[in-house]
Amino acid sequence: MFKAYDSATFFDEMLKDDLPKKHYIPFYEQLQKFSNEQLQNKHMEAQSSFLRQGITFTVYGAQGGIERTMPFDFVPIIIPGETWSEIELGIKQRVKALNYFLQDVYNERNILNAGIIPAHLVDENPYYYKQVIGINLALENHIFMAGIDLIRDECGKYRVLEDNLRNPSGLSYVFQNRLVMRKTYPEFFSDYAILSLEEQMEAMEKALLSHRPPNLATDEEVNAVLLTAGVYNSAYYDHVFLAKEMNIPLVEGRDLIVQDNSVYLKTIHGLKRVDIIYRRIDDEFLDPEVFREDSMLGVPGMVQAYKEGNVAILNAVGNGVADDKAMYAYVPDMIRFYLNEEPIIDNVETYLLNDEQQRNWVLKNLDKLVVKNVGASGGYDMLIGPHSTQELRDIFHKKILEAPHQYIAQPTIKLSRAPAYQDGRFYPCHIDLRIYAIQGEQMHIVPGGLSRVALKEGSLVVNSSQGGGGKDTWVLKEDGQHA
Amino acid sequence: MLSRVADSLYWLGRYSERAYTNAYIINVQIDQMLELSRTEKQYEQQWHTILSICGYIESYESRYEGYPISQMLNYLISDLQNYNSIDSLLTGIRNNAKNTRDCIPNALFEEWNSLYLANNESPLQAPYTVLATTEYLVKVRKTSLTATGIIDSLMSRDESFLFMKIGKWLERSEKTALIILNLMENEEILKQDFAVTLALQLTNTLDEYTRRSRMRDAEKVLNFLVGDKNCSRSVGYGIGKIKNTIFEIENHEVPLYAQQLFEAIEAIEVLIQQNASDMTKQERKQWVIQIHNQCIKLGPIFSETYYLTEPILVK
Repeated sequence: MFKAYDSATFFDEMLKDDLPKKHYIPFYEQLQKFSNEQLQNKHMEAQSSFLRQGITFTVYGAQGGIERTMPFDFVPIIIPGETWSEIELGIKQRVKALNYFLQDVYNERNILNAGIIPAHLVDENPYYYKQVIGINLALENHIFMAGIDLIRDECGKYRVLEDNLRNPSGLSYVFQNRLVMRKTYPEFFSDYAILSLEEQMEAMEKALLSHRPPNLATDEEVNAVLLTAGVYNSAYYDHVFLAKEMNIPLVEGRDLIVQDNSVYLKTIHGLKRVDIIYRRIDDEFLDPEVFREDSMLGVPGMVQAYKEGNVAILNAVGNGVADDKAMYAYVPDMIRFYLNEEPIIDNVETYLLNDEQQRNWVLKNLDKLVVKNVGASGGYDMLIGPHSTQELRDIFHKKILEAPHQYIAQPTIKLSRAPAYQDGRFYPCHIDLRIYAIQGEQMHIVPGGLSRVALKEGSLVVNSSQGGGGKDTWVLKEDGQHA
Repeated sequence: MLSRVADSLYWLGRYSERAYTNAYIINVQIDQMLELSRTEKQYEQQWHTILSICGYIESYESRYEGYPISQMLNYLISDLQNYNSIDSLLTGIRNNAKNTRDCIPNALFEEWNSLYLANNESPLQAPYTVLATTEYLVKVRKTSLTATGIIDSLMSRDESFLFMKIGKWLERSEKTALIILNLMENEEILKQDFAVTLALQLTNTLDEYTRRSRMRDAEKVLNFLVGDKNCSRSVGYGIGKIKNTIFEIENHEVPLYAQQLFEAIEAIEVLIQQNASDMTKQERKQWVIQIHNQCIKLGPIFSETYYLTEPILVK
């Protein structure tokens, strides 16, 4: 049975002073009606449902890939309607500015010429691809799908932790978490009206198909595909889900061929033209003629077809320049520069380590800070100062001095917590929230997003590859509902 | 439809059928074995036949010594180096289902995935007791039958469905021809009467045949298993289904690129229409060899016609 815990040291999503917040009361009351055995049975049922359906991700290791499910925790993150409206506005503002930035650095470079962002951060960025400078992009849109990671600090204030503008994964979990929640824990939905996910994929399909490549005649039907690395890719289930829901073929590189600068699909009745490639493989694997020669996942000639305007590639090639952890520090400046607005959602304070003054201060305070590699993701190459050993801090000290531009540091944010149920008991776990922005002719934010939870007690790392789990995220429909 | 996906669906159909048939055959053999003495010549010969039909006798003999029951069952059920072992087939089915998840019903993937996961969690292993082995084989057969039910009741009759069906019919025709051939080769040792009954048992047609005919003459059974139009496990039935299905894919025309395929099918049809009763023993054997060879050739011609591309699984 649920027992309130001391929530004083961190902001808690559900509790305040050991009592449920207003918008959690119906959930809390329902929770009290379950016996331990019932909760345990439901928990088992929910976990096995993910495994049976093959909703897994692959963890890469020395022995090859291991398939795992992301553990599901049934305590939802509930967001009141008015809070969500604010988040939605903030995300739209941020993604809009990031898209302007990408269009700018691959064309006029106004923001660099104005000295707002140091040019070397772009020109020396390994993800800034000169090969795609000046390309005429469908809708001038670089970001079809963005995954913006939010956290809440100790005061409950939302802050952006990270922008993912390349191949953000996890959208399928948003839907599957809701399906499992509906099927296994239907009781919790009573007394709540929440925003539905039902029509989201239709909106996504429409947004995808609106990216008609410049050379496609207006009366021609548009053909889109989702390009995956294949069944062993860590996010393969995500790819299957998206392709199926958007009703487009799921293809591998070897299913495609380029002829006369156009991309074709190899079908049982010969070749069929492809106009839009929603790729879920990284830039460097897309085309062995332009990027990595050893890539078996891509298609020779694809980038040339893209440059010629015969095919749209989503997300656009070269987005990595805008979402690395160093560029992140400048997003508020991008918002001010392109939109002439103040950021609605703040960043987490970030120290850039190629600045000598900031670096020296950071090196003295490693035990209090989080240090991240600007190019890494998934919780890799990361130091969490307060939880680290002197030995690890020494290693990072050396790494920072060797390649200061490769690292950033941030204060250790007291990530908000929410109760999680594992091994027959409830305990508080740190969480974050990935919000998905979909952009076609308009921008659309998927209500709620993916709440990730650091299931290991005390851990701040929510990534699924590091043992994190997922929660359903509810956005309350009516303003003021239970709030 | 994508060529790679078509290939996976075709093999999904073939492997599912093979898993069902092999599980059934091993089950029949376990039942038969209970009444035989291990010292009888027939006992060893019968297992030899089963190893040939459900695996590769040469590969078995090169890797294993002798014919202890537990070793043979390990080879036929659990040995992942034997591409036709039940567990290899389960892996193959799951991979192909995973590869085509956007074209098949979720329930179909879940059905096979559940069996795969259950087997991974507590695999059948030595000692292969009769009860545990039979229980596992029945589970495989039931999963296959449920999967067939899901395909038939949930899938649109589109190309995905048709490619899976072609895989299934081809696998079945080839297997029936292989069973007859192996039993004919062992007729001396197994004795004709016994071989004839065993052929009906291994092809899962004993009940059907007995219902329709009391006489188990070798020629009659041979005609039944090769060309009977109403027996769903006869070679002719499968080939007829394949021909109709391809006609359906091609909108009832024979396009130039599919000409070789139709010729190959018609060549088998001509063979099948012959009557075993008019043949000598030697001619009968030659006849079945020819049918079996033609069935084996059909797969590659089919793959070539539809540009079927094998998936490369990048780890």
